[in-house]
Amino acid sequence: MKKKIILILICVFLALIVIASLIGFWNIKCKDTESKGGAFDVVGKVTVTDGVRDTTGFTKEFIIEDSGTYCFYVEWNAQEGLITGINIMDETGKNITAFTAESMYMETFPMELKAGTYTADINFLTDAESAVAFCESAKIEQTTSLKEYAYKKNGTWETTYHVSWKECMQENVVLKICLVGGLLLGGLATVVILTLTKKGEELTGKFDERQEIARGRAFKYSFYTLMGGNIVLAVLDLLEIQLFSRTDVSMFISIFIAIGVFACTCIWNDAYFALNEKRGSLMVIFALVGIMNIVVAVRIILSGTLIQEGALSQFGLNLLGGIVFIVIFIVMWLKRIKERKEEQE
Amino acid sequence: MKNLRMKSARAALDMSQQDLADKVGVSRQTINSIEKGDYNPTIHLCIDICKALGKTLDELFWEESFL
Repeated sequence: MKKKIILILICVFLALIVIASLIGFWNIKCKDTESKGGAFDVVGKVTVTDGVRDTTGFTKEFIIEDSGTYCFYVEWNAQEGLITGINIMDETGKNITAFTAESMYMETFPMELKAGTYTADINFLTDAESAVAFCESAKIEQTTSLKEYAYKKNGTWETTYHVSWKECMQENVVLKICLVGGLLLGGLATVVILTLTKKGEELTGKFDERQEIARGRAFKYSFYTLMGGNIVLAVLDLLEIQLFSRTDVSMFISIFIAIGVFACTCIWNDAYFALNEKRGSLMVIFALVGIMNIVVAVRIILSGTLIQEGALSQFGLNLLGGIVFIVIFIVMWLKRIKERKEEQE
Repeated sequence: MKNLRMKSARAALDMSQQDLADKVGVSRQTINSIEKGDYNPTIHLCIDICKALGKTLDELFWEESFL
């Protein structure tokens, strides 16, 4: 018991260090005083009479003094009936980013910007035609909501537009740090869970000779499944056939299926649970992990980020992981029912 | 081929499959597989089972036609 308690305490301590580091990193990233950036506020006024606006909009120049990676923050709050389109361009007239909304509070993804003069082109969109024209000039997607919006034919709008930019870390660096932190926490949680599900002082699973043979077979089937999946992906890539998901996501699908094959084969041949393992605890953990992933997946689906650019995004991995864990739990449950029937016989 | 001799030796000692499995250090399903004839144990496991049931290798695992 002592060995287990010490190991759990070490894992908890390391997990707290990782969490504290991530929180510290996040605070440093968002610290204002040492970040490069700037901001401006402009007031725009437009009067619409019988659907005709008295001005199409205006422009505002601003200077970014140092090259770097920046995020833009835009905010305005207008009364209903008017859409504002803001298009930010560099010195050469190239579109950097654009927004359209009745009211907005938004932070963009990090983008590389060179030092120089930039222009914010602020447009008052008072009907579907002006909205479509703005989208074409800003090279952004024309959404149905812009065309079907209830533009007011008469009215006056005076709106303050706040635009700011702040230096931030590149998205991929943030992603890498969060990924490493997440993997570390996941690894530590795994050690704690595996320790708690073992009987006695042994920290590793013990399997008898029949179970070892069955596990070897399961590993073989899992290996062939993974190889088969990779071959299919490679052939599809060579033939330039568009997959339903990104390549990295497709490879993870292959991995998840291989894991599922291994687990289900082992479970059905009574070789998944070690001799010194608490079966009930593991089943509960599998069910909980599956449900948690499904809950996260439902949130992702509702947010509309599951499919991006017509393909399954990396956010679909939670859904896949949840399905695999639930399937494994179901197989465990069915096997348990079968064993109880055999015992009664 | 089913190993009925092993099953009856176990039953004679009023041992369940789990009891025998715990004594020998394997899973209950392994004992079940041996008795059903689905798995051929190694010589080491055979010896451990014989010791647990107080029988010889011939009595439990040698083919009946040779006895």
